[in-house]
Amino acid sequence: MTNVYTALSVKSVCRTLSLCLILVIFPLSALAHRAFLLTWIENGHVKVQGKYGNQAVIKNAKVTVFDPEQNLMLSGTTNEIGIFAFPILQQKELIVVLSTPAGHKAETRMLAEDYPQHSAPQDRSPSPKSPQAPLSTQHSNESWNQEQLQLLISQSLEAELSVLSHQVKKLENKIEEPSLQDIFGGIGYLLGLMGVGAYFHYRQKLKEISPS
Amino acid sequence: MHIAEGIVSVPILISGVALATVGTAIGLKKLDYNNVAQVGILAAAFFVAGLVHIPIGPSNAHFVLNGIVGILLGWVAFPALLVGILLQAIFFQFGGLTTLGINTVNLAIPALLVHYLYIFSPTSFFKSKALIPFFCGFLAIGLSALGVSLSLALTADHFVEIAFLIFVSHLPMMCIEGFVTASCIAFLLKIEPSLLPKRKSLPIFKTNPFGINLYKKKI
Repeated sequence: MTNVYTALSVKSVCRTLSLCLILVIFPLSALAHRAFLLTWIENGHVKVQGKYGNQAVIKNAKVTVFDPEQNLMLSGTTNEIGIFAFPILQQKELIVVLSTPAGHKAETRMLAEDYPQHSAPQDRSPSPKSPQAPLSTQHSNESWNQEQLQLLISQSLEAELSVLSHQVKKLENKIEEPSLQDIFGGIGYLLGLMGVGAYFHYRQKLKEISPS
Repeated sequence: MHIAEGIVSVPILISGVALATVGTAIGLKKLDYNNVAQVGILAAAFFVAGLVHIPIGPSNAHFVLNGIVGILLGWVAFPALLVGILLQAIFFQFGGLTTLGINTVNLAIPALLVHYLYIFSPTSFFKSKALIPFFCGFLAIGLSALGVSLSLALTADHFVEIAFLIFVSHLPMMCIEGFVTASCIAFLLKIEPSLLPKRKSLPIFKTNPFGINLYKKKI
């Protein structure tokens, strides 16, 4: 009677396993390959930055901005440091989509609470250089009214908080990067599938050789 | 290398699913369950290799290892890569579930082609045994990049620009993967040659039409 169980060469399995274990240990310094999108408000503009999982910026990627009803608001491309900026729109809730020629895509949603309180769209002249420009030109000898004071404070805070919100977005994205548990979980699933397939195959063979 | 969801058009997705289904069915039929451990380990190696990024040049490319998988498995590369890509999509969000078929096709067909290239390559024409595996690894990534650009171009219109951009961005990775494939195959040739497929000679070379015997054994 021929034996349906051809013995696997234990040596060959061990050798292949040791070779592949090198590749398993390798990803301790591994970096993900997925596109992320960071958005923050700075100087009356919405800034969008595309990054890969290893923090490399995505240059010349197409950015499209939609409203919640999927109507196209505007589009553009990221610059050399992966940033695309547009002025704050009347529509605060936006869906920002980034797509690269190589087939990567990232999407994020902006909500009304992501905007600073005094960043009214199109209401203020963009003054990226200094928040004190209105001060020196118009109000040097006059008393402040409350609204102008609030605008000045919000501009200063925005400059400081833009860095903070950028860091928070990076942290949010970091949580989504693959962890070691994901890696070993995936390998476990693969080996489990392999075992299940082999089990059902050899169960069939067993039934054929021993019907009792 | 993995196409994300919502990029390619529906006909491309459906074609990918159809081709991947056919390839996987053939692969499962040809699967020898005595070697299922090898298939599982190679699929695990592919799964993990997608996380290893090489920051060389303008690209942000990562290891694929479909050259090694293709040389060792042949048609069985289809189910192995399908499972690897599925788990990468679930655990790491590389690609997507709707693009599973097209991603499998873009990786598995080049793997299959380099398998036959390895089998039918002349055995003693080149002094170095690592040259053909290097070329196989190099070509596997190049053909996969071509497949990705073709999939994107059939959705958009500017094929040549996309193809050139993707090809150039993957050129460093093609070279690196060629070296990795060559070193792995050379290692296996030394310690366990039975893992590698048996090489065959093409019928045209048996008749020796040009007076060059490419399959003569070295003394």
